[in-house]
Amino acid sequence: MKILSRSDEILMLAILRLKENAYGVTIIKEVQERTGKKLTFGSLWVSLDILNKRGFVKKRMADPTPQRGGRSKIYYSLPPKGIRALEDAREFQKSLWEGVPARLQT
Amino acid sequence: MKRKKTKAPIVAKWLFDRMIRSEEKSTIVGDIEEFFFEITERRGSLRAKLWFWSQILVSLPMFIKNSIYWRIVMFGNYIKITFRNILRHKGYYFINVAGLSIGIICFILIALFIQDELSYDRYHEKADRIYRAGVRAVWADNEFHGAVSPAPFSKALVTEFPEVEASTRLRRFGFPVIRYKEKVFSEERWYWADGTFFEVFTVPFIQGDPKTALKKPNCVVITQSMALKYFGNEDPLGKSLNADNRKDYQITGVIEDVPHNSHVHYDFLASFITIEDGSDQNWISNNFPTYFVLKESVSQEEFETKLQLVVEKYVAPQLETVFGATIDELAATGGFIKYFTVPLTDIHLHSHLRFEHEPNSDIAYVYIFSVVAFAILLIACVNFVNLATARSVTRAKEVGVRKTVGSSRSQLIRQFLAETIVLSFLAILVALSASQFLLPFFNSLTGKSLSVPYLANVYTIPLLIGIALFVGFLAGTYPAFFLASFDPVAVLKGKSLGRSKRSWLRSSLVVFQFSVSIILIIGTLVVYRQLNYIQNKNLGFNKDQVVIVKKVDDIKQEIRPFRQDLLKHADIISASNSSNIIGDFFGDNLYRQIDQTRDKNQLIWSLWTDPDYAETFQIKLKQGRFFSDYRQEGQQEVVLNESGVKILGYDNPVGQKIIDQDGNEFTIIGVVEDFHFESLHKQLNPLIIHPYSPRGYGRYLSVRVNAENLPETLAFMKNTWQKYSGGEAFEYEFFDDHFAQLYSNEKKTGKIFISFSLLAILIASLGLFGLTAFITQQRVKEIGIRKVLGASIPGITFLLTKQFTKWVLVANIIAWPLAYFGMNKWLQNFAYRTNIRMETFVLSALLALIISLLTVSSQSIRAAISNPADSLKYE
Repeated sequence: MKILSRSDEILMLAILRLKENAYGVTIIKEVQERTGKKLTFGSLWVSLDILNKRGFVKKRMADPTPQRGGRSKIYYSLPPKGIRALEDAREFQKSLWEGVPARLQT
Repeated sequence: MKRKKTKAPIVAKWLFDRMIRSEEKSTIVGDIEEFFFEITERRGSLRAKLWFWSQILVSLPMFIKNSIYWRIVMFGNYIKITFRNILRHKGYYFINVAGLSIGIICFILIALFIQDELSYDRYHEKADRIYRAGVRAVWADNEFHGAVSPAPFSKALVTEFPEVEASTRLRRFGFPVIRYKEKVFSEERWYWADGTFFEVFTVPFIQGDPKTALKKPNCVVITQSMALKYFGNEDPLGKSLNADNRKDYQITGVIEDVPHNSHVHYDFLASFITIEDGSDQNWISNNFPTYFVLKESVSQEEFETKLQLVVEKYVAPQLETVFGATIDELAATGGFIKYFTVPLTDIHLHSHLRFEHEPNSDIAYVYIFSVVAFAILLIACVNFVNLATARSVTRAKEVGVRKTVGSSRSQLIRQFLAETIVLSFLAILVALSASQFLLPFFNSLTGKSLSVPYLANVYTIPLLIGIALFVGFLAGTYPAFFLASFDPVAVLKGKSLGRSKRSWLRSSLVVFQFSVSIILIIGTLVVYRQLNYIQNKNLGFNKDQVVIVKKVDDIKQEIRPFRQDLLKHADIISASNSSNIIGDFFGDNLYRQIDQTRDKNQLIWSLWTDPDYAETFQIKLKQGRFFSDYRQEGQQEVVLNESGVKILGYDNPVGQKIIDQDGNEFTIIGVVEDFHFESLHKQLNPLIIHPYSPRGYGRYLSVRVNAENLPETLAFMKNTWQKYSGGEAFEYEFFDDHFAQLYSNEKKTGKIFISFSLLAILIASLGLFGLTAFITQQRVKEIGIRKVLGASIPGITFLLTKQFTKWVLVANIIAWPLAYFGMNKWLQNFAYRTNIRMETFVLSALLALIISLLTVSSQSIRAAISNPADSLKYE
C-alpha cells in the first residue's frame, strides 16, 4: 500500500486531534501551532480533497450557522481507513528508526 | 477603509468566486471569511486584507494551470470527435471545407488587391504631407480641370508661402530617342524634374547624390533597369546618354525602379533646368504637374484658401492679354480660376483630372471589391450554416446522449463552435496553399505583383487567425445554439424535429446566396457588354490593320523617303506621320473666329499630321477637303472636326478664318466627321488638325497594311527601316493593341469580376448540392411511400426541385434592383456607354436557374429512381 506523505500525515493528525471540531479554520490553526507552517486555504482544500478521494478523510456538511452569514461548515473526520493509514505510518516510522542509536553523532 | 465593519475586499472575493468551481463553494467562502474576521480583530483590517489577497495570489498559478488543463482535455475531445465526424462523413465535410476554402481564397486575394490599391504612394517618407497642385478654370462654356499648374507656380509656392517646405515639378514632355553607342531606343518614360525633386519624394539612390543630381543642366538620373538596358555591366555614373541626336545628358545618379504602387512611373529623370531655366513667367498656360511638401501641422484646407493669393498676384495681371477681360469681368460672367491641392496618397484612387500622368484607378473599385469579398465569404458561411442545420438530424442523437450523460448547454455550444473553428482553420490552410498556386494567375489578371506577406507584415498571421476565428464564429454560432438546444428526451425518442422554422431560415439563406450570385452574374454581363460596346462602337476611324512605327522622328526628314519606300510594297496601302496616336495625350490651344473678341476664345484639342492621315485612319470627310500637301509658305490651312465647328459657332465653316491666342490666323479648308481621338471615358472634344510644314515631322508613322502576308510585310518594313536608320532596332506596335490599353483597367475589372462570380456561384452550388442531398435523404421514406402509391419519376423529381426553383426566382427579384443600381453607377464612368437591358436580367436569371437545377436534379433524380423497397424495408 501507499505510504502517506508527511504533509498528509500532518493534516490527518490535526483532524484527529481536533476531533469533532475539525473544519477549515481550526485545521489551519492547529497545523500552524504544531509545525509553524502557514497553510493557505487553497492548498488545504486541494490536499483535503485528494485525501477525501483516496478515502482517508471523510467530509460532513454541517447545518448553516448564523455566525457565518448562513454559510455551512464542512467538518472533517477520519474513517477507519484513515486511522489505519495513520497507524501504518507510525509503524513505518518506527521501523525506519529501529536499531538506530539514540545519539547519531559519535 | 472602514473602521467598524470590515468587509473582505470585493475584487478579491470576486476573483475567488471565479476560481472555485465546487458545490462546496459557500463553505469555503465561509471558512475564509471566518479566518478573515479573526485576523481583522486581532491585527487590523489592513493585515486581514493583505492576507486575503495573498491567499488568492498563491493559489492563482495552480488554478490557471488546472483550468487550462481541463479546457485542453475537453478541447482535445472536441477535436477528436470532429475528426471522427470528418472521416465518417467525408462528402459532407468536403463540401463544407471546400466551400469555406474557396470563400477564404477569394477573400485573401481581394484583400491583397485592395491593400495594394490603398498602398499607392505611401512609401514616401513625407507621403502624408505631399500634395499636388491642380487648376480649375471656368469661362464662357469652357472648363479646364487639370492636374497641372503654370511654370513659375512651383517656385512661387516656396517664396510666397512659409508653410511650404519644398516643391518640385515633374513633367513628361517629348519622347526622346535615346542612344548609347549602338543601343538606340525610343523612350516613353522620360520625365523632367526640378533639382528639388528628391527633397519632396523619397527615392532610394544606388549611385549618385540626390542633393546635386538634378541641379545642373543636361543631367539625368536613370533607374536600375535602364542602367542595365543601356550599360549592362558598365558603371553608368558619369557616362552620357544622347537624346534625339541633339543633346548629351550626363548620368548623375542611378535609382531603384519606381515601385508599381506609384501613380507615376519614370525611367529617366532629366534636370528641368535643361529646358526651362526658371525664366518662364507665363501664368496662363497650365502645363506643369507640381508637387509640394507642407510643413507639419499645416492643414490642407487652410492652405488651399491661402493659395488663391497667387491668382490675384500673378494670374490676374496676365489674364487680360489672353481673354481680353479682367478677373472681375470674368467673375461677373460666372467664370473663375482656382488652384486646388490633392494629397499625394489620394491621387491613385480619387483623382481623374486632365493631364494625369497615368490613368488612375478608382475608389469605387475598392468598394465594389470589398463588398464582393465579404459577400463571397458570407456565402461560404451561409453554406456552412445551411449544411450544419440540415444535418442536425444526424447529430441530434449525439446531442441527446451527451446531454443525458451530463453535458451542459454551454459545453455543447462550445463543442460545436470548436468544431466549426477547427474546420475554418482547416479551410484557411487549404486556402493559403491554394492561394500560392493561384497568385501568379491573379497577378497576371490584375497586372500587379502580389504575394501573401507572411513575414513582411506583422499583422498577416494574426489577421489570418482572426479570419479563421471570425468565420468559425460567424458560421458556427447558429448551428451550435440550434444543436445544443435539442431536448434530449424528444431527440432520443426519435421524434422529428420541428421543421417549419428551420426550413424558413434555410430558404432565406439560400435565397441570399443566390441573390449575391445573380448580382455578380449581372455585373459580369454588364461589364462585358460595355467592353463589347467599346470594341464595336463606331469610333469614326478604322483601328484595324494599322501598324505604328515608333521613333521615326529619329531619322528626321528621311521620314518622307522612308514612307515613299514603304508605299512601294503591294500590301502597304497608305502611311501617315503624326505627332500623336489616337488615344494618347492631346494638347490644346485657344481659338476664336477672326472677327470675334478674346472673350470668345474656345479650347480646342490639336493634332499635327501630314496629308495622308485621313486616308490612313479612314476618317470620313464631311465638308471641304483634307490637306493636299504639306503646309506651304504663307498658307495656314486647318481641318476641324464637327465638334470643333460647333464650338466655334460656324454654319458654313469652309473658307472661314480663325485666330489663335497668339494671333496666328488659319483658314478652315475642311471638316471631318467626329472621331474618338480620346478614350470613350471622355466626352468627344473639338479638334483642330494642322498640317506639317515641309520640314516638320512627328514621332509616329501609322501604316495601313493588308491583312494577308503580314509577317512578310513586317519584315519588309523592318528592312526598309534599318536601311534608313543605320541598323537601329525596329520598334512597332499594332494600333489595335495600343488602343486596347485604353480600356485595360476595365478589362481587368471584367476578368476579376467574372472569376469571382464564377467562384461565388461555385460555392453557392456546392452548398445547394449538400443541402439537397440532406433534404432528399430526410424525405427518403416519403418518396418511397409516394412511389408505392404510384407517383411517377418525373413527378417526384418535380416535387423535389420545385422548392429550389422558387428560391432562385425569389433571389432574382431581390438581386435585380440592386444589380441595376450598382451597374448603373459603374457605367457613369464612361461618357459613352451601353444601356442595361432586360435581356441581361433574364439571361442571368436563366443562368442561375439552370445551374441550380443541374445541382439539385442530380440528387432528386437519384432519389426518384431509387427502389422504394430499399427505403421502406425497415418499416
